[in-house]
Amino acid sequence: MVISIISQSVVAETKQEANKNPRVLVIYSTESGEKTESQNLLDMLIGHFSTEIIFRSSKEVQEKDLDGVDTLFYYGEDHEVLPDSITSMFNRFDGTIVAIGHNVEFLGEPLAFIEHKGEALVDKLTVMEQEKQLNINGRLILNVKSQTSSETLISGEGNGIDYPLFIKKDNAYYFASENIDTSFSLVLGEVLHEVFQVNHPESHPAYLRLEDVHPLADPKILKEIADLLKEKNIPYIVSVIPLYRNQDTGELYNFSDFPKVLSVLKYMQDNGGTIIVHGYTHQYKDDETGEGFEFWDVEANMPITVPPDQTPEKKYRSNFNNDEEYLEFLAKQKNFEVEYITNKVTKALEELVGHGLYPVAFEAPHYTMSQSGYEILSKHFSGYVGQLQLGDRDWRVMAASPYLSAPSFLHGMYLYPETIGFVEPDDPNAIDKMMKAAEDMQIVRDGYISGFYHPYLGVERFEELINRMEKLPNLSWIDLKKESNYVDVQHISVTVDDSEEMNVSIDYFGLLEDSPDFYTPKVKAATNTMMWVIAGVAGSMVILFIIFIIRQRVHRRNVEGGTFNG
Amino acid sequence: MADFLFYASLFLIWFMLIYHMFLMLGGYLHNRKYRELKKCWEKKDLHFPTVSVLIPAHNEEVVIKETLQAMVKLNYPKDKLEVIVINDNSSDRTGEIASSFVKEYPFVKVVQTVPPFAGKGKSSALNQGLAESKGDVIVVYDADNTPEPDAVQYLIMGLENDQQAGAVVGKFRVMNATKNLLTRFINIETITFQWLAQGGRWHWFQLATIPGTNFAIRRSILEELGGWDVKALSEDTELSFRVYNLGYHIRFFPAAITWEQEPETWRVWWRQRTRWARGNQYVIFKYLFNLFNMKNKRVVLDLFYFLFTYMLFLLGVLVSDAIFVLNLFTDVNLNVGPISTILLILAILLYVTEVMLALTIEEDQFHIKNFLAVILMYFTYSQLWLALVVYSIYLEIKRVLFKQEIKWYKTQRYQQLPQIEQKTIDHG
Repeated sequence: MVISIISQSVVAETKQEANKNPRVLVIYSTESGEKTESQNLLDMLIGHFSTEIIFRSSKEVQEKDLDGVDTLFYYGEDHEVLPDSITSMFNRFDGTIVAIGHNVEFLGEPLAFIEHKGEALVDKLTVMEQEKQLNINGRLILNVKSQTSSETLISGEGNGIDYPLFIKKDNAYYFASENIDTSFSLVLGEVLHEVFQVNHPESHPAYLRLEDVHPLADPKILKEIADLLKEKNIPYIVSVIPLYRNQDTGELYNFSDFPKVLSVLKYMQDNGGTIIVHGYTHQYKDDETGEGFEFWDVEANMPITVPPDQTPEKKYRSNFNNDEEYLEFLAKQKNFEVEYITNKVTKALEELVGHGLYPVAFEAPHYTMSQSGYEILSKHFSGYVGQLQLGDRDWRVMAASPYLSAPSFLHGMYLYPETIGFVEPDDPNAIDKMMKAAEDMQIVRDGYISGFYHPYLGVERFEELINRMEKLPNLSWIDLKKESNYVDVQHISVTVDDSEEMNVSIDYFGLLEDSPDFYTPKVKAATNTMMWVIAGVAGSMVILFIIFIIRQRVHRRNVEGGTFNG
Repeated sequence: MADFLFYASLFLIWFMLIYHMFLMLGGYLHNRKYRELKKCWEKKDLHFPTVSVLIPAHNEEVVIKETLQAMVKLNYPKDKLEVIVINDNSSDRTGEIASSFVKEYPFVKVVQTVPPFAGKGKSSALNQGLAESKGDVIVVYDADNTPEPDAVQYLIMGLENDQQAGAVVGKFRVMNATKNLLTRFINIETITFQWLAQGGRWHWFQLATIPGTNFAIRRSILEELGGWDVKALSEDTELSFRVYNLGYHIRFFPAAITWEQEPETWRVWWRQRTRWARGNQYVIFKYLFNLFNMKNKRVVLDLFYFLFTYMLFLLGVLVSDAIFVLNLFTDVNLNVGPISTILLILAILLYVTEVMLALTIEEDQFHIKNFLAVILMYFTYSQLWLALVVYSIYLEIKRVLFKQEIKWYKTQRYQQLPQIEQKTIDHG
């Protein structure tokens, strides 16, 4: 209980301060002029502090974009000669400035204190104020000549020499690497608290997620895990796939077919578990549930743009005669994706809610989702659990923010990041690795320590995992049901906040009209109950009749002495 | 789809089974209650109205003598009693045998049917008998009946003590019960039917059906109704509905007992039952569309009962059987679980306990032979009912389509051993 109160207050604070909401403009230089995976990483870091983030490429940014901006970022991912207009923007701006990577020499007076001297190799990172250290694999950073008036916030060490990684002078900050992934993301994420002048307390929101729970899951193991967590009073997340598709026969099974699993899930829901939607079937084409990708065409490595029985067309602008045709082609693909995703999440919600399971957030199968997919999802969910695919170029580039975040590319959704991975079935040291990752997360004051577990691995390893997690300092288990979240599809909505009550609203008539299948599980359950009631009544009556027969015989024998053998 | 059909039929079947269960409970309770009532009424002085016993007879030479012998032994003031044999177009010695009684017993009369009413069936014969009769109360016996001496007196007792009763029906028992397997089955069936359907319905809803024999009805009612419906194949059911429609009820009073012959061959049985089934279907269609004009709403219950028996229950059984059989040969994707097995076992157990409870009410019917017959019946006799209803529906459709005239298939009679011997055999 105490744990959940703490976690609530942290998140409440986080969201509240986000409401203070500094307006952030990020100007970036990339080769294509498009926002890349790296920009999305930055987006995820800033998303912890602001929900008003605007990204503009150096080629398209205009003076007016600076209106009302509190914090100005420049991200030089690639070398570029920046125009004077940008230099003058930085010169004029009187708020906080953060520059990352290249091209800093064009950013005018505020960043004049930076002087590059080639590159340096570092294998240890130190956040100065906290004196926390992070050992990393050797990485190249930009070697910056520091001035005495500047202050180093993060320092990298290589071969016994310290190199500044994040430097401050007055209201300008500089991050001396064009890459901000993995451990860089952690240290940068931590010091952004100072940049945004937000003093989040040291406390690590934590969750464990039971992954890929579908109708064919083993109810016994699930129950054991649920009991363990209940006993420990630890809230947790269950990512549920409402339909299981048999790979060989193509047959679909839902929770009506496996009532024991359903009843354990309901038990979980009532005893600390929070259900989230993990796709509809967790597969596409002929894949098996839990194995396949549902919102990404992994064969073509592109968003899903065609029905499973068709081959997608991968075309570029050069394949078309004019912009119009190209845009038409893109619109067609996008429309398909909108319909596909909307349909999948709606069906998933109908299945779950129809069976009495009320999810409060979403997690994409294998964390794969196109950028436009996130936008579509944001119309139906306020919370996303796991990691994010950072771009449409390759599904394998994915990451989590170190903390709760609402990056602009989630279009309003909050990410509840998964940060320490999962228990790899074949790896005996899997839990050690997770603990190592958890340790790294400690460098971010409010970094999430969160992982997932496949229940089919059994309760023993889970128990080991949970026991070791419990020993981590400053852990506060989050209860997703007590966060402010909503799920909203046609005719169904589920809303939760810090009150005890979950608010479910279902438009039964609308469903009857549009998705009569919604009622199937209810009808089945009612039928089954009815059958047992009938059996109960009939059984009692049989017993009653036998008693009557015996009574009548005894009575008759006393009066007349008849015998059964005639 | 298969699941849906299966469950739908299961519901239809169990709706019926639970109703039967409920009725049997009522029948058992009525058995205990009516004995008290009988004792109570026996203590009171009984007023004897004039009674006309009508016996429609068409070629009944085999049984008519015994029937009339039973009639003359009736314990009823002979000055208040007339027995009318309606000799309906007989080509055998029926009239001759009946006439021999007329000479000896002045209260026995023979009425000869005349064209165009001759040989038109039981309803028509009864209407002619009614026209010739004088009694305030009309009692009807089939020509193969041997009522116990007190039977008529008990019927009158019921009418006199219950002014709301338009008719009183007694109980009938099978005299040739041990003749063969078929008659044993029929015996079990009729005992169960009477306690379950007659006794049960009377107990819960004050509803009973005139069974065609061993009942008394007020003349005033018959006259108001204009006699029997000559178009109805099962004139008794039809008459029952009309009595209720007048606002009266029909009392089931099992103290009045008659013994009757039942078919001894399957062929005769089949024809008799086909007639009954068609008759009841006729009633369904005659009244179903007049539901809201029914004065006595309880009759609606009976109509639904018939509707269920002859339509919905049948459909349920047929569909579930079809699914079951189909399931043996192909995968119909049936997903029903253990509950259906449990319900199947319960259905059989219910059937056995209901029938055994009914048998235990009667003297000397609760023994191992009958028990075995009850089990055997479930898998044989009871299943024939399916074929029977299907066949009768077919006939009824054919009749309506081709506008055929209804014909009365008279039930064939058999020479019986004296009843005393019969009972000895029954003891086995």
